[in-house]
Amino acid sequence: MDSYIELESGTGTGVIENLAGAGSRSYAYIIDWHIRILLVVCWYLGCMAWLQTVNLLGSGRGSDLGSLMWLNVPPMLIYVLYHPILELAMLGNTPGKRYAGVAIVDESGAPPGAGAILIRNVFRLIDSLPFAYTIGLITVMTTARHVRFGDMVAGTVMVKRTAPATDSLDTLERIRNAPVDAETAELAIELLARWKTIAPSRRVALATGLLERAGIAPENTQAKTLRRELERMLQPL
Amino acid sequence: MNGNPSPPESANPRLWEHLLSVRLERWRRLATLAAGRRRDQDLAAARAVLSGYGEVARDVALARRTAPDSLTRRTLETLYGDLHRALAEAPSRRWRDLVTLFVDHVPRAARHLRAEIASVVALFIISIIAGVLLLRVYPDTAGVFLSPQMIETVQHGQLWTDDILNVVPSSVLSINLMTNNIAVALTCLTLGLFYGLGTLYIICLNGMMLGGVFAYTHRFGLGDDLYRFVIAHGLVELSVICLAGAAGLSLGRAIARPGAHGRIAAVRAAMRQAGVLTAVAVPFLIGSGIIEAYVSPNPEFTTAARTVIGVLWFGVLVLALDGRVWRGFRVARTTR
Repeated sequence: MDSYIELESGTGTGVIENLAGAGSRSYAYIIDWHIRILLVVCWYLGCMAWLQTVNLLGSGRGSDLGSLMWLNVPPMLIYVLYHPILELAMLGNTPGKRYAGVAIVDESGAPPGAGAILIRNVFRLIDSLPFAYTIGLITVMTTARHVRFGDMVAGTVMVKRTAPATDSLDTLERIRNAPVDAETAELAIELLARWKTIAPSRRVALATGLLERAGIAPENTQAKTLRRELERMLQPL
Repeated sequence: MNGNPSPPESANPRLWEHLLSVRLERWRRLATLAAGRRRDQDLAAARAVLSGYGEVARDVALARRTAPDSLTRRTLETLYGDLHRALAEAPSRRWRDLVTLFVDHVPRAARHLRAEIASVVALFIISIIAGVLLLRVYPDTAGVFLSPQMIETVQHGQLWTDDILNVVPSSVLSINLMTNNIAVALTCLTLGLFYGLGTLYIICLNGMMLGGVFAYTHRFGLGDDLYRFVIAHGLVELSVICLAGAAGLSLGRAIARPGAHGRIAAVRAAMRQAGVLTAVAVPFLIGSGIIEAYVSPNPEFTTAARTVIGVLWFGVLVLALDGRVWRGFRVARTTR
């Protein structure tokens, strides 16, 4: 099953967006769920503090319908309206989605309109059936675009957000300015970035191979020396 | 690319390096523009993004061929995506979209589904009549539509709705009713995926239940009381279920007769129409839930007042589906 979609762009070159799967979606949802719970707990704590201050329970008015409504309706509204309101205000995002590095987009790749956001949120009711978003999770895992039922209806997809291009352009500048060919420079940069995660014997072999490719003979095959040679190899002339 | 001569495509690694050497500064400028806040940018910046978008599209196409596994290609894909979003994203359109949904899309969807709406309403009325006839001919079948507790209450000359506010406060009741109504409407819609048969079942069942319950309460002289309870919220509530039914039927039709574009495309298009109608249905169901909790069980409202509330609320729904009033407002604003 594809984990990316190619959006039509009007230039003839499609825009590639990586699709968020069940894992990223669940991660974002769990963060949002905790935020909601935190808000509700804060509300109840605030209410308890307020009730203690005015000694409402002691005066026997704490159990009337008005107090019950004030106590329970705002948490219900927080729970029900959290997603639609935040998605409307944050152009299809929520704090959870932002933290998990995912975003909702429509079929053109733009943030979804208000109509689509409302529709996908109304259909949460179906996706959450019979419990714990079972229908939603099944459709995410079985559809080609990893969408839940609400997304199908609203015409939206959830995509992974990568860091903006500005970050990796610095690396590209390093590759361009290196006195070796671009491919060798890129491999060297990647190897240095992952140096500590690679097994010692493997990184020595990789570093030696790269230095040989650039026509550099290292003083010895110690990891420290090889690393220093690689860094020197990337220095602009 | 900006007048730069392109090297021969066979020399792929050289082409990649050439791309890097001549285009990097341009990419950096475009990346800064794409990352900037749209509202802080002027027309010149927007034009630069637009022209840069085409250039980067060509660079991406080139990088996909010459250096498919490189960081250059991945960075260019990201930059291309950033520029695409910058161009695709309309300026702060979220509230305007909401208005467009109700003013344009809902009436259009209602017009598109008018044959289905008429069919579902006709089926619903026939089911109500069938329910009435069933209870008249076979009074013992009341147990199909009412619980034993409800039957006992009616036999004692009372409606099960009489003490509803003594059990649950209106605020909690209205939230329960809203959730239940929205769930019924969505179920009615989604069961349309079974070739429309699930939707037909829900519509027939609801119609027969309504007819049957009215016929049964009428036998015990409670028909007027039930009418008094139902009229304020029921007109819109049942109409919305019929709307959901119409959307469900269109889903069923898309599956049974998908047309030239295939089943998935047909279902997606039908879903889109259905979703638009559902979006309008939800505020009306919320309104009906509030009426059902605060007006319907309240003895202070007379039958006439309840009928007026019900008819007015139904009128608002019809106007929302028709869309002419909204368009009239828009024309008046434009003319002014």
